[in-house]
Amino acid sequence: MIRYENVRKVYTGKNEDVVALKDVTLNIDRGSLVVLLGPSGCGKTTLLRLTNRLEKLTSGKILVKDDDINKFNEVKLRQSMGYVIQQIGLFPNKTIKENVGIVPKLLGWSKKRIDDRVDELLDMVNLDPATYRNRYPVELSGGQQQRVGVVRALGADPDILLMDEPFGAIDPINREQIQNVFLKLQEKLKKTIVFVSHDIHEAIKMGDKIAIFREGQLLQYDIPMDLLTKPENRFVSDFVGADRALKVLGLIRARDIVNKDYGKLVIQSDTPAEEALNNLTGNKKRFFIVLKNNKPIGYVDKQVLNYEKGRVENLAKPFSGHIEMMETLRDVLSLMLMSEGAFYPVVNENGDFIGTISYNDIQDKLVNIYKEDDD
Amino acid sequence: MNSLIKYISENYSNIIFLTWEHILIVLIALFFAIMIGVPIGIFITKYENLAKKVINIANIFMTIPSIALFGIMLPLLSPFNLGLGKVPAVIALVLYSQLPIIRNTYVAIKNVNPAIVDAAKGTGLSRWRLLKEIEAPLAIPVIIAGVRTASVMSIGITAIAAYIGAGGLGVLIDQGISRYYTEMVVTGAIMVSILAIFVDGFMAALERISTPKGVILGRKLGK
Repeated sequence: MIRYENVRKVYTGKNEDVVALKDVTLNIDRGSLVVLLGPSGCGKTTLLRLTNRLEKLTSGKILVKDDDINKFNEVKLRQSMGYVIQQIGLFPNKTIKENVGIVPKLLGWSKKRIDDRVDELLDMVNLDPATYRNRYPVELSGGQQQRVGVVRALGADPDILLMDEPFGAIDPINREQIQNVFLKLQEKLKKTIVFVSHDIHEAIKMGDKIAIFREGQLLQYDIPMDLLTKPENRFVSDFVGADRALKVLGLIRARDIVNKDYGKLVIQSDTPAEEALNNLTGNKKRFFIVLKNNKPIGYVDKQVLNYEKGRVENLAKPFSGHIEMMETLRDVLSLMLMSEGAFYPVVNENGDFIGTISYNDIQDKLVNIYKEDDD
Repeated sequence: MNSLIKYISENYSNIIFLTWEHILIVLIALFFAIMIGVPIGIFITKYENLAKKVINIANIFMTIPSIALFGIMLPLLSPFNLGLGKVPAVIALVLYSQLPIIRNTYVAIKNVNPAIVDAAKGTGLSRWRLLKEIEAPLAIPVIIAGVRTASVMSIGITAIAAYIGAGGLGVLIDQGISRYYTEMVVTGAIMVSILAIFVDGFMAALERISTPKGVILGRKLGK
């Protein structure tokens, strides 16, 4: 969708020239979100601004859908790409409706069509159109303003979005929220997005692929998992951090490692304690997960079964938590660290039992990932 | 006091005529001053080096005392038979008005938040659209403030222009002084003052009306 070919940008200064980008070649697939990541001054923002010609290319080529961007009229080119910046830059003299509808208006849409589009967009980011469309930017909180900033960029439904640290100026709690809202939106819209960030967490969370830059050079361009497990050089491994194994946990979901070989670990709720105890010693297990209507209600161990009588459902000690299939291992591990249990039942969205995850499962998975890395 | 009222009631048609003449000179001068100053002010926002020079030149004009400026223009314009009268008065006013108008226009446009300008450009507003949709609406109140300064100043200078035969309320002051006619002097002085205060108030209201609603709300909310 977007191809950068030997992109070079040199700023001519009074005393010396500054090379902002050194022959960067990069291909961004249709429908994917690529994060340009790196410390300040690494050239990531410059690359973004070259894309809609807010900066002039020194040499090289940028192709959008196989067409050189220099072929287009500069203003038309920009109207065909959404643009979101950290400082938001809503027009203070215009209402939210006028802000969001600016590109459709430039493109000459009818008033009715613009109004409908604005309402649709505000709905997408959970801003009630009736409440907000006629307000002015100053009447909104920072987080709300940036949501408007995002949908303004989506105004005329462009294929490409350029986002320059869009959530950088928002406080951490709201940032999390707007990131989630945006990810959900992207799942539906499948835009091709160039996303500048200096935050590795954000990059891992948002990016289908991440391009790491240093001093104008593209160091590595990979999916987040490969970036964390196979950093190509010292700078990248330092940049992704010494805790990169923990960050990997954020990329793996419970469903990826759930242990479904639980046949001998579960027991139905109406089983008598005596029978359960026999089973337990026979199978050399330390405990059973008690299922009722295929939902895990707790567990029973030898201690309980030795001294209590009756059905196991009355004896089961409840788990301190359940793990859902889509939860990340990061959250799973966190849950484990906060309580005594060494393993947990995994359930689907209906609460039905699927399998288990233990400390060991998590460790095995990570060890395997890094082993592959050494091969 | 009674003699003043008597003077005014006996000469009111002349006073009204001179007041009107006074306003006319100021209006004509302001018209040209805005037509010249605002485009220059917008133009120099794009050329930083030029901006300093232009504002300095405008500043120099402002420093020359008005009576001296009339004196300088006399030999320059007399070959065209325009050394005296309304023409040199209007030219002088246009020159004086340049500083407040150019400077305010320049500052107003420069003060538009660069992030807003960047967002507008990146969104796909052309140079002209950016000026029309964003920069001008945000800048106009400040530009009007410049015109306000220029208009009040012009009312004062026009009073002096009576000495080069431009007419206006200065005539009453000028003739009153040479004839030791206190009532005449006072009437002229009062009328000039009222005119200045009235115009100042009018322009202040214009400043308020032209401020975009979103900006006023921002001030109220302290943002």
